[in-house]
Amino acid sequence: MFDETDKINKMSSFYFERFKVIQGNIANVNTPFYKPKDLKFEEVFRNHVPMKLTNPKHINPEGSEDIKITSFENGYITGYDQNKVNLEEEMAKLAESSIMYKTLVEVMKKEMAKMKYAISGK
Amino acid sequence: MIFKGLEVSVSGMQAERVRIDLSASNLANINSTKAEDGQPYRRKVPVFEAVLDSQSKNIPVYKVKVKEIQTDPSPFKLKFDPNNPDADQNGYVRLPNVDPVREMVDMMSAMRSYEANLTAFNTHKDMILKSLEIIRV
Repeated sequence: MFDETDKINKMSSFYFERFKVIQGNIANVNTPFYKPKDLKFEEVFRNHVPMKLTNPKHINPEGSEDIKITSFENGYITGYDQNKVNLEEEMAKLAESSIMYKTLVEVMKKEMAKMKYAISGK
Repeated sequence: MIFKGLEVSVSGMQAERVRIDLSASNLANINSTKAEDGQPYRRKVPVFEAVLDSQSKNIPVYKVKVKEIQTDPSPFKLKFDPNNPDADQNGYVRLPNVDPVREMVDMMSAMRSYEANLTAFNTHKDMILKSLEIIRV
């Protein structure tokens, strides 16, 4: 019964966590030697599509982690302080995460309304 | 913790404000030929440091902290002004190593970074308020 809400819950918490990581990148826009961090998305749905290991040669879906952190270096020119944060990119990601989060909350509200309708019948 | 993101942006704003404050102090002392040690004023710059704030579920969130305030060791500017009481025997006055253009650029950069942090703060606040709507169904 709660499968849908569970999925939405996982996705929205992913975007919430990603938002916080990006906030950290923006806070450190003037910190020397800082490298921006980001969260990977693909890992989120791994739990919902369980893969069977029938042969030891099969690739094992590693761990049960929902979200993976990645630290990346991009090819942008860094200043003398070796800071690799690209502010425009981070602001874009910030907007993206927040819009996705708000959308998922709307979807969650719809899910809840549906459930309420099913329970009360009106 | 739900409010961690707000704290992160606040730490960013605080750090940028220290930068603006120091730029203002540098500009104010652009002609101070005598500081407390008898030498001309030396330019001050903050050094930022990323501090790992929380690591729940393998997700590191970094705050920013002003690690220390350093003094710029670059040489003083010399100005020929024999009538100045601070002039040496050759008639040169040592002026602080503050470059007004540099300070203005620094201030603008700090201001923009401050605004970026403020935007992140407000967006985070909106997201938290948005999630309250779920219980209002």
